[in-house]
Parts: sequence; structure tokens; C-alpha cells
Amino acid sequence: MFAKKLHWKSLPLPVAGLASLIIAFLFLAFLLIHIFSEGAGGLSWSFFINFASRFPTKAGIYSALMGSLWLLALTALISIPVGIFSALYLEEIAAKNAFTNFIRGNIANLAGVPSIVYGLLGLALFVRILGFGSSLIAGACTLSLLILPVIIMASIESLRAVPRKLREAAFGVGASPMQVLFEHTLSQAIPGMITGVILALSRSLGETAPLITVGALAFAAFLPESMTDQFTSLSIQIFNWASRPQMEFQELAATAIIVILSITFMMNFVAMLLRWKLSSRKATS
Amino acid sequence: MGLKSIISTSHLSVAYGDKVAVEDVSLEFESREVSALIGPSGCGKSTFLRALNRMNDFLDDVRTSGQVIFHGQNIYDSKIDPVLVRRRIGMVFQKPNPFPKSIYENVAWAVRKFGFKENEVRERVEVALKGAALWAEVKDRLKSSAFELSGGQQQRLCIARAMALGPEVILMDEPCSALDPIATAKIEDLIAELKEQFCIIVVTHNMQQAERISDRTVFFLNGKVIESEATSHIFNRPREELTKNYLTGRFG
Repeated sequence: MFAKKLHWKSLPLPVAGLASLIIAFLFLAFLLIHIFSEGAGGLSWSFFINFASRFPTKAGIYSALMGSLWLLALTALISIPVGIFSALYLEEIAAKNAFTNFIRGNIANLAGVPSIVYGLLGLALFVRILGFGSSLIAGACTLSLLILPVIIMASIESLRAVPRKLREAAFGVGASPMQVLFEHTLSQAIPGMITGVILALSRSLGETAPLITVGALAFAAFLPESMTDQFTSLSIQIFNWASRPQMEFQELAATAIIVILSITFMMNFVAMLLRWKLSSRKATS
Repeated sequence: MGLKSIISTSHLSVAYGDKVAVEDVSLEFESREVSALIGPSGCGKSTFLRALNRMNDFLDDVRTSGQVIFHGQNIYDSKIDPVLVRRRIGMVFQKPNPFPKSIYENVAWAVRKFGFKENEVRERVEVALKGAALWAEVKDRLKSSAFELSGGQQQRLCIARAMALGPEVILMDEPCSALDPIATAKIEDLIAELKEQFCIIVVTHNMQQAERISDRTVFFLNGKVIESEATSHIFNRPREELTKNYLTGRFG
């Protein structure tokens, strides 16, 4: 009498969902298998410490990897403080009026602007007007602009998720607005903020178009030594190799893709760990 | 009455946007007395309570007019720092809201910010936890998270937190509404004890509770005070027809 019946009407949704999941998973698996079968053979210590070369057997990613790490560090240094303080100001300090609402709405829009547009902005503003030239700092500034909306949105969301009763509790015992913000609200919002920051940074690692636009080198047989030096990056090195007809260079591109994917996966994994570890001491609503 | 009054309001009105929540309320509250604010939902009793230590400041679009006099000063005066006011007028909220910290830190945080040295902090935490009838239950696990406590224990922790700063007035916004009857009884006993030291103003939905715990009852309706009398008077011989109808359950 109370036995479960399988209703045919409820079937399409789970079936469609499972099918979509399998399709997405198959594509990912195909991509990974393809990349690994083509590129795994090229992984060796010399691949990491050789500069780019006309000869595929001698070519490596030394300058590209170092360029990417420089970019990542500089972008983090610029975008994290600017992004988090913007979010703190918009969500916690600024008055909620038509103007700040307008800004908030448009930050979400900025997150959807194609990266090539940021590249052109970077070229005009950082390379030309501010005179940075085609340097690491021009590239990092451009990438920072690109990921700032993502960092700000993620930070605003995690500030909003802090239960209101926690703020009331702190105000209720005579905490000043700044104490409430920095000693109570922020400590609850930080796990979400860190996750947003790391995901945004790992996105910046793969960006190619804006870097080409600001004039990153396609071929660099030297290491950048300061932030005003010219540079190349992993993404550009991959683009360069992949656009060559020779099979050997295609394989080098695949090997470099393995490296860049590993870095991205590692960053996402760290984001997950931090979130999991920090959220264990979170307030529940 | 005026001589002993510790906190009073004079023509206090609070509006959210164009909705007036509290209208022209003048009341006096005395030390060592429990006052209960009763009335149907939306009658303005919570808004009034939150106006007494400027907790409404954080809501958007709130306008407050009139005065709240505490120690002879209007706390809405532009020269007054609301942070300092809240240290003298503590608050306990509807749902227990401990900090996501240890039991000890919950009470110690504000005391430390107040400028006490760590050994004095420890002393104050112990006194406050004893005062809130929680010490015996937590003294062996002060380091563990406040979220491991039951709802009633969390609420007593919040009361200890409010007491630790040595306030003169403690405001309680339906402190038992999220608790079971046993935990409620403990809080009610606690209120009876705290009355020896503080002026306590409690918002409650529960008329029996108001009758049990309070010395004075204020009946709010549509943002106005209909009647403010000694509790025994108001429950036995209410002056106003509206009060009588509310207390006998004709509306609510």
C-alpha cells in the first residue's frame, strides 16, 4: 500500500541530468587523455630549465614559467588589497544609495567584459599613457583589472553571508563599527574571500589575449629580472607553439598545457582545503 | 518616581521610511526593577527597546526623534558616542547569538576591549558566568566552542556577556522565544536575581511570563503606549478597555 512507485513522468529530469553530466565528463576526460598522451613524454627536468628555442628538442618553458609566476605574484599583490578593500567599502562602509547601487551593479557587468577589451585598455593606459612599456607590471596591472570584478563580487557575497545577528551581538557589547568589521565580520567572511581570490588568480594564469595585446614577447630567451622587464608567459608560449605546423612543437604545447593545468588544479585544491579548514570555525545562522 | 529613574524617554518616536513604528512615547524606568513590554506583533515594542541603546542606528532609513535620557544626558545628542552608550546599556537578543569563539572568549572579548588586564578579565568572566548561573556547567570547558552549548546555555552565555561590562541597564528582546520551557524557567529565575543589580527591560510575547517576572508592565499598541502600570494592577484591574481586551485574548 505504501510501496514506492516509479512514476514515468519524473524520469526525464534525472535522465537528462545524468546524460549532461556524462557528456561534460567525457569531454573533460577526452581533453585530459589527449593532452597527456601527446605531452606527457616531454615532461623532463630540462623542459623546465631550458629557454624557448627554434629546435624542439632543446626548447623549454623556463622563461615562460618564470614570467607566469612573476605575473601571478604581481597580480595578487595588486588585485587582492584593491579588491578586498573595494568590497569592504561598498558593502560595509559606503551609504547604500542610488550611486553605490549603480556601482555594485556595474561591477557585475564588468566581470562579463571580454578579456581582449581589458587588453586594449591595458595597452592604452599602462603601456602608453603611464609609460610602463610592454613590461611585467603593465601585464600584471591589466590582469588585475580583469580579475578585480570577480574578487570584489566574491568578497561582497561572503560579507553578505555573515549572519546579521553576529554583527548585532558585537554592537550590543559596545564594539565600535571598525571593531565589528575587522574582528567579527571579516573573520567570518575570509574563507569565502580567499576562495574567490584563488579562483580569480587561477583564471588570470590562463589569460592570453590581454597579454598579447599589451605586447608580451612570443619568444624570450632570458628571464625577467624586475617588474619593468619584458616577459613572456606560459599561456603565450602555449599559443606560440600550438600555432606552429610541426608536430614536435604541438607536443611541446601539450607538455606546457600539462604544467599550466597542474598549477591551476593545485590552486583550486588549495582553495578547497582553505575553505574547508577555515569554515569549520564559522558561525551558523 | 522621577528620583530613582535611571533611563527615561521623552516624546520618543521612531519611523522606518514613512511607517511610524513608535509614536511619542514618554516612559521612565527604575533601577532594580523589571519592566515588561507587551503587545501584539508589530506594535513597536522591539523597536522601542532597540531605540534605548541605539541599536536601530544600523537599520537603513530609520528616523528617531524625541529623547532618551540616560544619566541626565540625551543619548541621541550629536556629541554622544553610541559605542560608549551600549557599554552601559547591554542587550540580549531574541535568538542566542554567541560569537563563533570559545565560551571564555565570548565573555572576555568586550571586557578586554574595555581596557582591562588579562587577570582582571579572567576575574570578570568568572563573576559574569556565575552571575548568569552558567559557571557550574562550563567551568571545565571554557576553551570549547560556544556552539557546543544548548540553546538555553547559549542565551545565558549572552546574558553573561552583557553583564561582564558592568552595565546599569540590560535590555532583553524576547529572550526566551527560541527556548524550551525548562530553559525558559532558568532564564526567568535568572532575571529575578539580576534585578538586584540592574534595571531590566524585557520585551515579551508571553503575557504569563510578563506577569511572572516583571514589576511593571507597559502595554504597546500601534506604536503607542496604552497603559503603563504596576504589573499586579495591569493584570488585575487594567485601566484601559484596550488593555483588558488584549489581556483577555480578544485580539493579539
